[in-house]
Amino acid sequence: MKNQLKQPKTRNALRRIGWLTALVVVFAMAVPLTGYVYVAVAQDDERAQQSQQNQAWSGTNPRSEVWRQARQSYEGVSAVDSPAANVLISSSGETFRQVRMGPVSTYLPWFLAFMLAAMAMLHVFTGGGHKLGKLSGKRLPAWSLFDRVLHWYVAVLFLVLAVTGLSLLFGRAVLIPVMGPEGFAAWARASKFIHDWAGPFFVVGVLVMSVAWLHHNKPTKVDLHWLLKGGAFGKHLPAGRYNGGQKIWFLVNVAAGLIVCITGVLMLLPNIFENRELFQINLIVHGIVGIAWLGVSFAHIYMATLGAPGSVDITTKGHVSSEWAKVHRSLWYEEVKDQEFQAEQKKSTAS
Amino acid sequence: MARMKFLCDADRCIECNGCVTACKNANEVPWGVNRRRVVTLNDGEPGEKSISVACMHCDDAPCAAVCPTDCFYTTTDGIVLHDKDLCIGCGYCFFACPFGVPQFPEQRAFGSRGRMDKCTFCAGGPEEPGSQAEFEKYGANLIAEGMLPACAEMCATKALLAGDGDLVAEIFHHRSTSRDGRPQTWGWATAYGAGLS
Repeated sequence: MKNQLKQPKTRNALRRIGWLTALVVVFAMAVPLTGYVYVAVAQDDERAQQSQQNQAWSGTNPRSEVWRQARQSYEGVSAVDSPAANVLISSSGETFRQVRMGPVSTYLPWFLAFMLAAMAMLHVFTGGGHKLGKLSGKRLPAWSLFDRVLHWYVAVLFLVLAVTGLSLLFGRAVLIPVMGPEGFAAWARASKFIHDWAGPFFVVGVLVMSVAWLHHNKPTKVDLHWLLKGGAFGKHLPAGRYNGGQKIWFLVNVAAGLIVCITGVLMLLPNIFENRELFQINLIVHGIVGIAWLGVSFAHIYMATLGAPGSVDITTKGHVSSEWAKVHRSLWYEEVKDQEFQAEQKKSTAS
Repeated sequence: MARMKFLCDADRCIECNGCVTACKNANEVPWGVNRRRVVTLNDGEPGEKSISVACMHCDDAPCAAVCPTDCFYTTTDGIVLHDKDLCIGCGYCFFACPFGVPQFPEQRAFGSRGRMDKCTFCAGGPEEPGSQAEFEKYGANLIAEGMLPACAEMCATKALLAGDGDLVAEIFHHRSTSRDGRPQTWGWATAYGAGLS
């Protein structure tokens, strides 16, 4: 009986100790956590102050600054080591696309069409150049073999580069419907290869031509007179060895040649560009000047063939009929008429 | 139809370059070609942020617009792919792309660079899906196997998300509204000012 009474007492004491221990443990764990409460309260104060600042619309969100930097082509750091890899977004790419697929692809074909149409109109309204009638067979020496080789060297490369270059710019619109995607891809690959390899040879030709023919192309008062009185539109005005129009064509060749050749050579070495913007501008300039040059060349080709029959002889045979010289180059004819020879005579002496 | 998108959570990216490695591993891209890269802005300064970037698979892709041979196409999932058989390696896509994505494996005379290589969203190319030819030209086609791009799958912090645009946006929306530490970037007061209610 006593034992039975005592047992609950010790049990109660044990229970009390157990509870007290649990209480101590809980407090020991909870009390240090009050620090967090303090920090949270402090942060709340801070936030309240911050939100007051925000209410006043002051200050920018520091995170938004990062995306602003990304959008504005800031240079960061990247483990990938390739050109411009450390820039997230470069808007110039889209500008390049808009310019190339917009004005360049729209207006330049119209310019070529305009030049073709202008030549056709000129042909119709001037009656297709001066008919020389029956030739006497008297000839005048005009171009040396060097001049003729140089002319056709540059001319053939010019046409090859024009065809391949136009294929790369307009082939997608014009040639894919004709040749199909695979066929055009093969032609475009060939075009790129030919354009790349013909380019340096063309540069040499343009440079030699610019130097070799410079002394023939000094502008004179006669040229001004020829240009202002409409020598280009079928009137036969006095002209020297070259007329004003030809001297302008020479200037176009030198100026456009310089621009197209420099931009072209730079494109063959794409890795020398520090950034993409320069290459984009380079490519656009190359295309615009190249096509403008091609457009002006239509005038040259027309004038040398249908516009003035007999002219081609200068670049093929090296001599030209006296009748042609009298009509088109009256001043030059006076200079060199003592060198006149009979075409048949030359044949006989040659054989 | 799903509209596939990448999204990089700048608050989670830790610049581990795991995505770059996963991509190289899955697609076995050649040396020097990186279909994905991580860029760190304000590196070493307080508040530096890293962002992983690859092809963004634009709706109106500048690369496709300037390509002379029209070799790009967009899949029904909104993934921009290209046909290497049509590519002539001219590099115009590289100059048009705002993200610097197109890569060229070679450096030869006159800037010939070989056929362009870029992120395919792990969706291969125009060859037979899963074929050897496809793998050699374009890398893995995980999309055809019902998987997502290797880079996003590999991301340890789940900073890089890839998949249907709506789903990705939903996840990011949930993250940015429930994320602590930047209450100043969202909420009524930020959007409209505290004076308005």
